[in-house]
Amino acid sequence: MRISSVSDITANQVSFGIATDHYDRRDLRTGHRADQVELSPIFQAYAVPAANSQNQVNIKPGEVYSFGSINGKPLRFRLHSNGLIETNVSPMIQASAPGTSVTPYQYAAAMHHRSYTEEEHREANRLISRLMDLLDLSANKMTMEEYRSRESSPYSVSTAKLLEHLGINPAEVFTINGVRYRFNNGILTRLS
Amino acid sequence: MRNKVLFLAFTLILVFTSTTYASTFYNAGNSSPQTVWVYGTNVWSREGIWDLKNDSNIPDGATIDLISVAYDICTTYLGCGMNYNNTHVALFNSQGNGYYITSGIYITNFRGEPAKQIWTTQYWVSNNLVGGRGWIKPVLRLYWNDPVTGTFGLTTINSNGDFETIEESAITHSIVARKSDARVNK
Repeated sequence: MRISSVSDITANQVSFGIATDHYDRRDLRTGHRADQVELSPIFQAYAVPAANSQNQVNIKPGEVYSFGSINGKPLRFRLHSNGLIETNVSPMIQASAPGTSVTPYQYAAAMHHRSYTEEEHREANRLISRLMDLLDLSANKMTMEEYRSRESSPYSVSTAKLLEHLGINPAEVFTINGVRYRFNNGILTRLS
Repeated sequence: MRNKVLFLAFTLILVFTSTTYASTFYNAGNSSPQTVWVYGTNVWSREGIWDLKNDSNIPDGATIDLISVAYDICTTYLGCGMNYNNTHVALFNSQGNGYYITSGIYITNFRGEPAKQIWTTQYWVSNNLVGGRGWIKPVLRLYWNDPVTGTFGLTTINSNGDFETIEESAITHSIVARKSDARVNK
């Protein structure tokens, strides 16, 4: 059942069970499950692991992928077909006309966004930024020299950390969207 | 003084890095109102707009790498009674797709988007306002890439439309090796 108006929601009635990936609206005082806000798929209970058992990552637009965790909170991402990037830390919303009421989803998304600390937001963005670097590298939109130079940016993370969040075994050759790599002594090398 | 600091930064970077880059200073341009008002609780504010479609200071092919909105809010009790925890600010692209943001934190969600489009910020507050209204004063900052010309820089635009260019951290930490010539403009 959907919530039809923001008046049905108050700040103490929105709970996102991040640790359990269970996104229900609950009354935080009583714990009783209330009406369920229809949320974006980015919040769905199950997310496809980014890397499969063959150490391969194949990112398809629209699919929600697991991307490790930050301080125990699961991180997920989805690449939209229009190129936009969505995470469960920063879910996508649609603009509304000035003066209109906040929708239940917009309210819930704001509360969820607010549930992360500033540093958690920064870390999520650093991880996504580096992920996009690797995807751009694999798509020949970025050179290896450019990719390596961006690793020192304060808005990025190391390749080692990125691979860990993707669930890739760095000791083995791995594949990103069909491109083979080796990672040795902190150096990423493209094999194909 | 600021220009001297920036010029020194450019000089140091040219000496200590082997990568090429380009940086540009910007003059003031047109913008939406500096003060963005909201009238009530749990309702969307007026729009704060940055129209970069025809901005000659940004290359036509430039795409977003990172983007942020930093904002001041009306906090005085007799004025508005706003606070950051209950102020929920979002940034939207020209298609009306957007994300909530935290003041000053760069987000990756719009990576690859054309930089030269209309960017809009709106917000709402979840607490009662003194006098029934409040405001924010937002500043938009961009990191943009231009694979065609090989330029890579930072644009800072406040909601008056005043452009400032290049922060040291952008040049120091966001240099991308290009084969194009370095170009420094004052």
